[in-house]
Amino acid sequence: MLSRASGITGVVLVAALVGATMWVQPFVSRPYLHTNLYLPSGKFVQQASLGYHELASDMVWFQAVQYYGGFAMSQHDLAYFGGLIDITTELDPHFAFPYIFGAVVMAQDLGDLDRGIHLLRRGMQENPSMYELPFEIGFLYYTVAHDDSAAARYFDLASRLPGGKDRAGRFAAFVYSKAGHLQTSIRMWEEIEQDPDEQPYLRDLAKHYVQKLQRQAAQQGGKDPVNKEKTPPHGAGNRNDI
Amino acid sequence: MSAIYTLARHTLRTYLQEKILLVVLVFGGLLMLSSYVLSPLAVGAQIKIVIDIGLACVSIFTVVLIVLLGASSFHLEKERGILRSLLAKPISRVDFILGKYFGTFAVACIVIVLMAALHMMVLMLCGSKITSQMLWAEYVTILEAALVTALLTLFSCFTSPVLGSFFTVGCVVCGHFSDDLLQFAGRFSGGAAHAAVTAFYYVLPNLGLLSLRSEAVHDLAIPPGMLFAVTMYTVVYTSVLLYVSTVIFRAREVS
Repeated sequence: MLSRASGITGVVLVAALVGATMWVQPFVSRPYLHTNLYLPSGKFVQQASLGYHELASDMVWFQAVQYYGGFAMSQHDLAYFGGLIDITTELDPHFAFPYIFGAVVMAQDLGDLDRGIHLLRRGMQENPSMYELPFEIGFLYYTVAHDDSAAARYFDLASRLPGGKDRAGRFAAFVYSKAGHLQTSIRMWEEIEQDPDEQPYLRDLAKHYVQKLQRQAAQQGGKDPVNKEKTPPHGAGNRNDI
Repeated sequence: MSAIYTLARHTLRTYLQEKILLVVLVFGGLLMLSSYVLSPLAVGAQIKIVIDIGLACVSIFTVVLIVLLGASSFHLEKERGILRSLLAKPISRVDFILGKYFGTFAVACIVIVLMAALHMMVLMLCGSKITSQMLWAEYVTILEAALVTALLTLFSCFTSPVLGSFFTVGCVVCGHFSDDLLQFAGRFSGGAAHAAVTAFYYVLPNLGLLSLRSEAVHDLAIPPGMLFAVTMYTVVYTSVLLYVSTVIFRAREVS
């Protein structure tokens, strides 16, 4: 049995620990430290992970998601986001979702479509049979670059890959629709938002972009010019063009 | 043969009474269960996280357990005089080395099977299916355990427990770097440096081969013939290590 004095000492020490823990909390997160600034390259992490690079990739992915969450809560910008995505995909080149999520955020939030497309093309090299990657390139070409021809080519490529026929075919039809770019983009995002098979996080992101585009449409007062009768763009369907 | 079996059974029974075995199993199990709790945070990679953490846990904890259990047992038997009294009986030094080896390897196999079973349960809890690649990944972890146990047996023959553990962990680390060694050798255009680095590449165990975690996580096809080749590589490498161990042990004085 503990003596009364030891009991009291124990209670006091635990109370002191609780107090000390609360005391140091304000110093846990120090924004000036920029911990992500010191992230090494993917190659280095791959060496350091001693063969457990898939696990290391998961850890960096956790950080990337948290980092984007901080941006969504207006805590910081996305300066290190690209680096985190690059490390994640270098560590595990077959991990597809970071390519897609990273490219969407780069194109939509960072306004760097080229980097987003480059990321997805790198993903395609590593995962040539994954239809989601060319599909996403087509999607970004249409919604961000307004490049019908490139979008159609990539949707066509995606529709030829396993599992991509229905979805990519449907989106290719959007490209040839008579509606204006803004309205078609909203429809494309809505399609992703309502797709029960899509990742919930991407569906949330789609919801956010639908609202953003709807606000944009409202500001333009419905002046989204309806495209002329669209014909299949030159070169569509030619896989060698990509 | 019966001497090896008896020694292996004795080693296994001794290890099963160690608390460290339980600690490693509980810790590994908790970490696997934590992957189930953490998975919702891993956007787009819920199942991947559970598979990654589970497979890595099985591999890491097995190596840690082999090093913790194996390094000291050889020396404890020497210090307690058990080794001397054993060798006084009709048990050869080769029997002793092989008995120790198979006993330690059996414990590693039990730990791998238990942790793999828990991993599969967590995966089924997450709604993931168990693929053949996952089972093969666990199989090559058993091969990895066979090789690491042989390395530890070799180092235990001529060094202290601390140095034995240190050398084993060093070899495991270098074994995962072996592909980079070959790339490094390519930087030298011939000459002694190229030959030395290339020799190191072939002498060190290639533990990168004993990992099918990428294949298991992404459901990638395992190259045909790889499993057989890798099994033969492990068997031959382990046999060589055990042979060297017996040669060293036969030459040593047992006080």
